[in-house]
Amino acid sequence: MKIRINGIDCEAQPGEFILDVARRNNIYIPTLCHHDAFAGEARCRLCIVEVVERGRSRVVTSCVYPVAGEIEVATDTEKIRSLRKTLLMLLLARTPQNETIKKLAREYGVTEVARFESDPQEECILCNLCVRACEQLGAGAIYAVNRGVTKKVATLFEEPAEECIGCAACAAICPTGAIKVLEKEGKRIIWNREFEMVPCSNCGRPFATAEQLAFYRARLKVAPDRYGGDRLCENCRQKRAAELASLMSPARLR
Amino acid sequence: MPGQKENYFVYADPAKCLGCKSCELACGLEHAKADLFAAVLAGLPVQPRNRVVEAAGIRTPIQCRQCEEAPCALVCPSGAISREEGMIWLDKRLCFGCKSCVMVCPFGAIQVRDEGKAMKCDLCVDSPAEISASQCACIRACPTKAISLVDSEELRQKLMAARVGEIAQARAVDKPPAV
Repeated sequence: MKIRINGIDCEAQPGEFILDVARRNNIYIPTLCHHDAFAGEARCRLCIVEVVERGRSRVVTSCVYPVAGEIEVATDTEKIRSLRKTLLMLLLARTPQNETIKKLAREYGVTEVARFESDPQEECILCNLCVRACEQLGAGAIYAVNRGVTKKVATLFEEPAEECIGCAACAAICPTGAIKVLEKEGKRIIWNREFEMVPCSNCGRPFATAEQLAFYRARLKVAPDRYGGDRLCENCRQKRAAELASLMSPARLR
Repeated sequence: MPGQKENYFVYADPAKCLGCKSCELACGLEHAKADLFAAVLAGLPVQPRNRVVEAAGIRTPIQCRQCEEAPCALVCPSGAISREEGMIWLDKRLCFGCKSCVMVCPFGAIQVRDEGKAMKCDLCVDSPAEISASQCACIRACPTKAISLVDSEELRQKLMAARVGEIAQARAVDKPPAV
């Protein structure tokens, strides 16, 4: 079926979400909590758009609004901009020092928040992407804990988590860079836990945590000594591949 | 899967490789979907999926070998990497940048950069049905024609023949023919 987004005709499947249709057609809708790999959860609510359906206009979160009929969508109207401005003011009130939020807020004309007291250390907007990434990975070390204003993402009882493998996938997916990973002197510190890094057996560069290597070995169902490659860093694995490349050279195969 | 076509992969002959990195540039531009001038002027990220590596006097570009039992596909938690007819397919949409594949790739041929998604040699095709040597930007760009698209089935037969030849030769040297 056809829907119109900002006056552009777009092909959509019934049940597809407006945000996905817009992205496919290169129409920009700002988001913080959305990631292609996960279903929308409408947490940040920045993806709000105006939908005109059967003559009635309303504001919906495009990441969870399925296309059911022929609708008209506007992504950047005066009303939407003003609502996003309010959302960003609230986000900025939560994370006053976060660069990502500050930049986005400036784009919508929010520079300071006078109405609320905020914690200058806070950088998390509770988008839940880290929790979902950790769960999908199979580690499941972090959760959203507490309710209301005390809600936050943490490990169980905020103790160093046994399940955590120190892969830092949570930090990589975080839209605001709120999750801090400290790497120094062959150690990686994340979620209050200190991991010993394994040095590459060739160049000596610390490249992964022992927990990561054990985790992936179990996934691959291989004996610890098979491949041998899991003690080599990416660069040294490339080098080994180059050394082995001559085994397939046309001169040998003819 | 039984009966499925074995994978194709890009391979460079180290004897012919100059280490000029033309393939890296061609790969980066192919995936930036621009020519060099457009990419530079627009400041597009030029991110090659291959890398020219020098080790033990050998120079050769290293890229995804499209392994039959691909470890990356086995560990990928989101199902973004899968075995398709003739290649290992990476569905960028499903990737969330956890770097599991980077950790297990025996060739170090997968990277996760700024975009937060895995990148590997995709044989320059949008679907496995299109695989051909003329599609691959690196093959077209190589000045010494060192790079080629290899069919695993053919390669294995050739490797076996080469090994048989080598063993036969070694035996012939070890045991002088009986008089």
